[in-house]
Amino acid sequence: MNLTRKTSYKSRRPMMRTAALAVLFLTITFGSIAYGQQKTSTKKATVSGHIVDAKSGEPLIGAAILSETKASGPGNGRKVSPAGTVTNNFGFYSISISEGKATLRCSYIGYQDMTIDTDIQKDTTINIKLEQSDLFLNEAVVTSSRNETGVRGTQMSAIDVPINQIKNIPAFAGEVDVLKAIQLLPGVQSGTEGSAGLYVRGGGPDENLLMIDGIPLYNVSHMFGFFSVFNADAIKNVTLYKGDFPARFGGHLSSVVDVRMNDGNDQSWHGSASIGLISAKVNVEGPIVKGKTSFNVSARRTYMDLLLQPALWIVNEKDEKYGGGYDFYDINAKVTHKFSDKDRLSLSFYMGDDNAHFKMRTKDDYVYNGYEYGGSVQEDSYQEHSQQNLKGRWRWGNMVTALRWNHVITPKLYLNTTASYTRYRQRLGVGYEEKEERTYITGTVDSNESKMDVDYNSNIGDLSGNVDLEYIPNTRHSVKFGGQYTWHAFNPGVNSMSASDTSEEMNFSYSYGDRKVDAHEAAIYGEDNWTATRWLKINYGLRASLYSIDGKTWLSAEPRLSARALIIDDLSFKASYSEMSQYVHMLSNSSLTLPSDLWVPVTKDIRPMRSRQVAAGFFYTLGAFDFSVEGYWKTMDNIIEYKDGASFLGSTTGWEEKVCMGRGWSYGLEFFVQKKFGKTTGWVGYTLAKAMRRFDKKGNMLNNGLPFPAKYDRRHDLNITVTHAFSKKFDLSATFVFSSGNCGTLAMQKFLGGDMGEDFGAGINYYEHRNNYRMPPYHRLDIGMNFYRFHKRGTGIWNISIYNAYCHMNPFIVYVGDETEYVNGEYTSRPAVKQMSIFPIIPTFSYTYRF
Amino acid sequence: MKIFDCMKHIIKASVTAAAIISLSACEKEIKFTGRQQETSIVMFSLASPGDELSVSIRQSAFILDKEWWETIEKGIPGAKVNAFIGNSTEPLPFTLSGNDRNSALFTSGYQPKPGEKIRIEAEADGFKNVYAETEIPLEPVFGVESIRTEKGETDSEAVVYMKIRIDDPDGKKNFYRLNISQTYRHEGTIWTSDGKISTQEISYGSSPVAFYSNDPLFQDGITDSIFGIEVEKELKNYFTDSRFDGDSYSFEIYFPVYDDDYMKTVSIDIKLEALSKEYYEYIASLDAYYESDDFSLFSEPVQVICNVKNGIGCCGASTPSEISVTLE
Repeated sequence: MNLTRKTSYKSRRPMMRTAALAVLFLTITFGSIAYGQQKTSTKKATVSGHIVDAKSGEPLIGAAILSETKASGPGNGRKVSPAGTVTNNFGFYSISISEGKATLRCSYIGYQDMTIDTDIQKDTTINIKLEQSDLFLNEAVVTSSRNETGVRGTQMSAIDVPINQIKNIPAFAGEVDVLKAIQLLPGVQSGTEGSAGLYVRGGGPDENLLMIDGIPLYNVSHMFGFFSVFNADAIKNVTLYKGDFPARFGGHLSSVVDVRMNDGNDQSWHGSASIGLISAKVNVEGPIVKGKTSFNVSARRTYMDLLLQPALWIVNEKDEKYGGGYDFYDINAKVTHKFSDKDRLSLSFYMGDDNAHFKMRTKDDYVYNGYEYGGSVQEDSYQEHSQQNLKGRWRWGNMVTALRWNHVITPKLYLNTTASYTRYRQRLGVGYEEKEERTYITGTVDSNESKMDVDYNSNIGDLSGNVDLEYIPNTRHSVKFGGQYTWHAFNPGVNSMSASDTSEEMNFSYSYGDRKVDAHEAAIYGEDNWTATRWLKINYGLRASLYSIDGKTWLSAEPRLSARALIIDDLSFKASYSEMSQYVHMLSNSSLTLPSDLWVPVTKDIRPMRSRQVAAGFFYTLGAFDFSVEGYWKTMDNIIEYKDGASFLGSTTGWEEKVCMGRGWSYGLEFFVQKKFGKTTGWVGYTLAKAMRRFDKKGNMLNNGLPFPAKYDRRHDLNITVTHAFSKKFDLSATFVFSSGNCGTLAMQKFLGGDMGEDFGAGINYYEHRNNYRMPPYHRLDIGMNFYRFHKRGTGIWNISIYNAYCHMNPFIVYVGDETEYVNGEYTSRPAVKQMSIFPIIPTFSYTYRF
Repeated sequence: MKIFDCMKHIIKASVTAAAIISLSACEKEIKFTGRQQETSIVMFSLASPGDELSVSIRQSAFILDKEWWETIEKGIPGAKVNAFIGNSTEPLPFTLSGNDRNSALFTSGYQPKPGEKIRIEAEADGFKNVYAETEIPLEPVFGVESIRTEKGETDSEAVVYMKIRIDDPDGKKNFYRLNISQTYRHEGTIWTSDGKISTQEISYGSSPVAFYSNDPLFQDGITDSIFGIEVEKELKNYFTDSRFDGDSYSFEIYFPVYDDDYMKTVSIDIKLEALSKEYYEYIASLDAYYESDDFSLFSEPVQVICNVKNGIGCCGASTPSEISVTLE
């Protein structure tokens, strides 16, 4: 009896918690809105519209608008407190101001401020076009950061990185990379050298929600993690959230990377084409109907496969030929149509694939003479001609497509609906064919053909629908709420095998594989950005998510809370608390990002991951500089690590037996200084952090249940990136990176093992605990130069970049191996700690033409 | 022609540069920056009822020791080893057998009994004192439920199918290991030069037998699979009672035996050992260690589980029970 009551209470607990938090959220929200309405004595009207780039029509995200009004009616001529807001992800703003004469001031980083004097007597639509600043004509007065991530906003643990800054960062192999730029921010660790993985505040690489135009992407890497799938030419804005997650985001524990694509220039045609050492890119944007419909298309392809061909020509011989190569491509496309000021429709598409292939063909001619083996006749003599063909292809990639409708329901209520499909798949195929023909001296001909093909396919696809609403009832509240639904289709792996052999009269084919699994994920959320007083602003929210798979349903409530206290106009203190849940894991090896990394859903034994994070910090603006110092504490539950010796290579068979479930915690202090505009831009970030893991539950034990450092626990991390525009024709950028060494597991002792120490000659490595060794520190300097040549119809840009300018050989892997020495006339071998590095100094150049 | 020559030079220079760059980006020795650990006492002991309690004492070697293979084989002759049986505070002393530098076996003359708790301590100059504890398991209860023989794949062998039942005691987690061996009769024949048999010799021998089973009991553990193709792993002959805790459990095994005129298996010896938890964890982790790579981009190295505090090694226990089945 008691057991039943206990079980039933335990399963109702998440539901009760969710209901209680929802009631609290709704009470506070409606209560404070109603109170705010009562307090207002002057009549209000709503001014709304879009803020766009004057030349291209591109909506500006996070542009600030501030109004100062003199009230009409009671207290006529009295100046009313200024009201302000920022544009949303679609460039839309809505501000509630007192009726009467008003001055609207609009500002955005990199653009000239605009002031509009107007007389507001009713709800009014005002669309604003901002002109870009020419920093060589007039160093624009940079207004203080009024966007939500700045001093005045409640949002903390988030960084906006202007795309222009990302494009100026010296790039590895000349490929501008959004994720590599994010790795230079405080609180973000990169994994191994060259990897695009993100380890944010002690979290793992699968704990990051990476989105393009609001749609999640799986496996965001090309070329084993050395490049990301984001083509900088197609991107407008990048925001990284490391904590204090807005309630509209969920599903991943550690970070949200929100990448927004360009809509396309709706006034005139523009574009760029560039060619570098390993890839070529093209971008074209323009109006289909001027002012109404615009498009933006970007494409990128590497040609490493072509560069390999000359080497293959050298190696190939008449009877032994090799072929192969590797390439990847990306296509981003977006079409946007504005029906009116109130309605916009956009269709966006992304597709990218990596393709590695090889082939080998050998020919053999053989003559057998019957006399040679003691035979007395020549009848057995024959000539044999054989040919073997071996080919393989490994292909992997993403496809994303989304249809979005934005509608201004009322000046205070904005709707965004999205239907999307995202898919990641990988295919591996190996084929072997052998042909033999034997011609006997008697004239008889024997021939045989055998073939074998093995194909492996796996994929994961999501079909999603989102409805997001923004409601601005008055100057003190900005409410966001909505719902999301995703149907996940996991297809972990299907093998097809076929084989035939004419001599043995064999011919068969069959398929087998892991079971396909469908899962349903849904969430509703609400958040309110409440200006409680002039100095106190609070953002509180709740996200309730549900995940259903194989008859089991998980429910979780994720409260979010942050507050900003304005100490003086340009100095604020912020604090936040957020909880996140994650229902999928990525099965991956520990060092490299492989295309065979697979996403798997939670099961009855492997529960959803959960994190709690508290953060607090000071934020200060001084002219064009933004300063912040932020501390955090984060705990993670039900995270998985692989058991000792377990590995994955493209298969989920028995994956639950290979992993252990445990917990992690991390804490740190982040210092950040950023300058986003001017002749000199860049940032300096320093992080002091620690990340630990513990797996001590029965059946889930690692490291004997003792705590151990997380794989990418690094104590110190310093990143400096600076770009200086000397003139319109030349700019120079440099990036310096320094971090403490990564962890690795090295044996420190050897002992005579075997069954109770009786196996003579077998030295067993003894690992005292996991991640017990620190690799040497990592540091490098990258330099980039841009030379501009202005032509009548466009601009040519030569870029020269040097990755790892002073050629410091950074550790990729550290292990104990044998070192051979020549001592006293003989070769001897001794054990030594060895380091493998992969990237020395890499100079690259590229040429871009912009029109 | 000029353009072609120029292209050739460019290609050669690019290829040379690429080769230099790639060759320079490889491996090199670096200075060891970790904390150099002191070497430890390596202590092993397997207590079994009916066998004299003995302990092997050696030393470990630092990973960068140039002659580690000599160091790990060295005994520690001056080591003092004692054991405490049950709640007794009276130490049971051990004496070293042999007197060369590799002598490592210390014997006590004591035969432990099932159910006894044993604590073994060792100390030596220059090393941290070490100790380990174990408990002698009770004798396992099992029986052979059925046995049948079928023709094997070749004329000289047969396959024995054997169903075994284990009665697992309730109350705690138990660990087992199963070994099968065969006793066979060998008829040797000596032929004379004129093709006649001159002598027939009959001798008996025994050898261990590797058995197979489709029972899930022996399928536990990490299976390997590469792109959906399962890689066969060696069947493990040790298991826990997680599938049948406190109950009886039957399972079938099968194995080949000799079956021709010259070599014929006459009896099968089935030995089921109850193992202590420490010993089970040691052999399971040791097997995983042997199957893994010391260095891999794809997995973490395997930690061999030791129960010797301040040192390395395993002091465990096993209690066997044997049944012999005659085939002829």
